[in-house]
Amino acid sequence: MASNKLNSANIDKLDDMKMDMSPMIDMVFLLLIFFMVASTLITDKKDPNIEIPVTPDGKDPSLAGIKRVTINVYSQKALDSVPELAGRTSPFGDVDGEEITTADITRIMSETKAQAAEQNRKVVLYVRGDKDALVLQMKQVLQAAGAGGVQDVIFSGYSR
Amino acid sequence: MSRKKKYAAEPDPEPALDISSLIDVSFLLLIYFLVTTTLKKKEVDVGMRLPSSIQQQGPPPELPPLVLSLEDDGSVIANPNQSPVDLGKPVDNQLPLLEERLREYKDAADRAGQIARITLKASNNVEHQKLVTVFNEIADVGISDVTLDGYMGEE
Repeated sequence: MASNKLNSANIDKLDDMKMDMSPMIDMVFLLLIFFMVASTLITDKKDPNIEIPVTPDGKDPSLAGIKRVTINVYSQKALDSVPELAGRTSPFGDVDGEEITTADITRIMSETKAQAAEQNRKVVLYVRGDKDALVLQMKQVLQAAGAGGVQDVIFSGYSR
Repeated sequence: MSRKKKYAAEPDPEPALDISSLIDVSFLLLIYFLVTTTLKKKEVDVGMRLPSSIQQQGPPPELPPLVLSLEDDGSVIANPNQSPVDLGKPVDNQLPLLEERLREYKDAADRAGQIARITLKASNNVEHQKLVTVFNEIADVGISDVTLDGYMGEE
């Protein structure tokens, strides 16, 4: 009789057993909040066909009061190997990756400068140059931007 | 009595909040962020002011600019025309000797109340990575006025 009672008591306990889901919910919320906080909206287009150089001491970008004009500079290797860049004669591209020349850079800079002046913003040339691009091409971009009235330059890099 | 007992309302069960829909939504959002998030390297800035393309206005500065030469092999030479000092090649994208030299120059300029200026003569055939390594050291010590010299190409 005693064993029957014990058995019936154990069966009742098993019936009442429930999985405690609260730690799992805690973890789900923790991960959810982490991804919500860590995610950043991409506001500028970043051409993936450019291998950015490494700058260990680079600073975090600041966009306060400035208007960035992105100029992409492709390496010869990228121009030769990437199908969408095939047939280009100029290694320069605008923020959308469209082929441009130094004359276009000068025009873009002067137009943007005129627009930014109305908003009291400073125009900065943002050079996203491939690490294998040549210094000559950088000089061409800087000279073209200077001709358009923009002397402030930011070079893009990876911190590691 | 027995009739009353028969139709008596059953006692209310213990109230509980059904959180299964909340968990569903949480998982949905979690999976969305897990799938859409891509670990992307963060791009950082190396800011410069390059007055090479405009003519300098006003009187020349009293403190002469520090002249640096970036050679084809990536090595940097200070004062290449007077008493050249080899500051070595980049190691792990850093130039410690150049940084040391730049700090000395920056300190001297600060003490004299002058603006530290760099004239960089970079070979046209050098890769952009090597140029940016030099700019990285220049920006790291707090110098922002750089003249990129030696443009030999055609527009």
